[in-house]
Amino acid sequence: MIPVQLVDLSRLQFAVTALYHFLFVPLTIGMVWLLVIMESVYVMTGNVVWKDMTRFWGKLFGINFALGVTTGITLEFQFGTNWAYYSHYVGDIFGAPLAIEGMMAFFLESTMVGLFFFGWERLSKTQHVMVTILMAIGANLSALWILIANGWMQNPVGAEFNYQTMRMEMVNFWTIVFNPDAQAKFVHTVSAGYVTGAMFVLSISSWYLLKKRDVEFAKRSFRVAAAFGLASALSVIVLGDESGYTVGESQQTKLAAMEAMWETKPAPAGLTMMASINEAAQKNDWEIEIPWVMGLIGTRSLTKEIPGIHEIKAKNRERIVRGIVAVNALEALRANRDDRMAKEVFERHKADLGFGLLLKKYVADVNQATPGIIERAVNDTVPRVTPMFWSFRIMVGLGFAMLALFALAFWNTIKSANMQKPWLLRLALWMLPAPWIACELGWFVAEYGRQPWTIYGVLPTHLSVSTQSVNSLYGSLAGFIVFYTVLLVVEMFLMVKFARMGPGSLGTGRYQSEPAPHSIPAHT
Amino acid sequence: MIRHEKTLTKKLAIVLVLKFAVLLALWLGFVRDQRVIVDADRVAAQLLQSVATPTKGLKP
Repeated sequence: MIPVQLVDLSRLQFAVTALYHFLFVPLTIGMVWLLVIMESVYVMTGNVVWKDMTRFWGKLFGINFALGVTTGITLEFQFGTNWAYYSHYVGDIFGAPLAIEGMMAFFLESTMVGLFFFGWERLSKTQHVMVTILMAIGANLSALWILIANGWMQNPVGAEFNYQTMRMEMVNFWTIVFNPDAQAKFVHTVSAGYVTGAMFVLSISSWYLLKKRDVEFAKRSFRVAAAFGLASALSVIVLGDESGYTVGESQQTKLAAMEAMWETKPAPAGLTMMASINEAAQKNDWEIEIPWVMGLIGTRSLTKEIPGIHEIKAKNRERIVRGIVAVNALEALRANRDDRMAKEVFERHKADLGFGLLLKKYVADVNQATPGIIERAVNDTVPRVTPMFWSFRIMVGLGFAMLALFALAFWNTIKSANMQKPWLLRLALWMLPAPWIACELGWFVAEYGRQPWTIYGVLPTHLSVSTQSVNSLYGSLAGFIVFYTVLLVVEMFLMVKFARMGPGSLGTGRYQSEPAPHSIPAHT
Repeated sequence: MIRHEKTLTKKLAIVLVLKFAVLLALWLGFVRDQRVIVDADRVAAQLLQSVATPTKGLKP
């Protein structure tokens, strides 16, 4: 007996902690490359302002790293406590990239972070920039392994179910590593991190420019952020298109829900820009559509159709019926592992086992499933359309808005006109939360859109949860929320404090509110 | 190292120690005793004999 409340609370707890965790992550992933750029210019030119920029922005990076590090560990607590059945079922595959992430990427990143902060006086310029580059590689490798694990949840390739051990077992490690979903997610996610880092530097630099303080320092920071942000925002959009294509290939329900595509439309399908979604009637009351675009994005062809929700549900209904056969065969095999007939039947139908298991949410014996129960399970196979549709559009809208901002900022900075455009500086300042909102919405679309599965098409969410007490979950949920909120408040406090102090906090004597033994060299 | 940096280093060190302490407390309070022993038979029982219900609470 699995209480629905237990499933919902376990999901809520994971969602809350993952969303908090990802407030810290993208800034780390993005800012570290800005530090590499700034320090590389310092090494190449010897101009000390670039060293000051690396040290100042590195300080804000350090605050974020110190506050953010280990916030992901509570997610791993939860795999054990709340998702023990999931962990048994797929731990053979899911555990490998997580372990590699910890042993390889996180250790590398953490070691280099220490050398970055305490190595300024102990390492040569070249050695120190190598440390910064390795720190950046570590941070990005960390994201790679996490996203390989997550990509496998979206598209479980390179593994097979073993009825004797009742778990998925890895058959090809490299298929999992080069899973197209994982690779597309990785490049899209790290690019989003680069945009976040660039927006952070651009916004704070804009504030200095608005206040007309530390102008030379702020101008250079603004220029680097604008250029890096423009390239990153373009990458996010191009790689997001790739991510959308892989979703269309492997997760048709997610794509159909994102696009509120109830019916299969003639190829090439149009892109619905806006719609009034009527979930009860399973249709859009009205919609604004751009012809052809969705077909081109989703299939990269003019002739291939994208299945609508009704067509997908009809196919899933058939898969659930075949899944009942698979569940029965599995039960027979569990009772007698030498039952050849059951083994043959199971081998033929095991691809639909997960769909048969969807019925277990409503009925103990799948053979007792009535047409009404099967219909409920069929409806479960598609996530709610309205939150998917709008979350995706807000994310994309913010992505294009940031691209426009970076393009304007870049144009104005190469014209050296940014100081004459206070509206641009104010816009850059007010856009600061945009990348975080877009990142969080992106994760919402990815994870909510995977429902009702923890492993897409293989393991239903309601069968993945541990059998533990609801009260314990309430307690740990409250503990996690308090813990993360305190971390976030401390982060905001320290960030605002040191951002307000500006590069003067370095104590070099070259900046505002400090004695000035040396002025900033004018050349770069 | 100037005063601001010393202060920041001290604050970050305190945050890291407190974070470790909170994580330890969370682990002691909610994780350590929540041992859900899972093996092939238990998974088979969960997957093949369970049914979701809107009831409250559950014995481990």
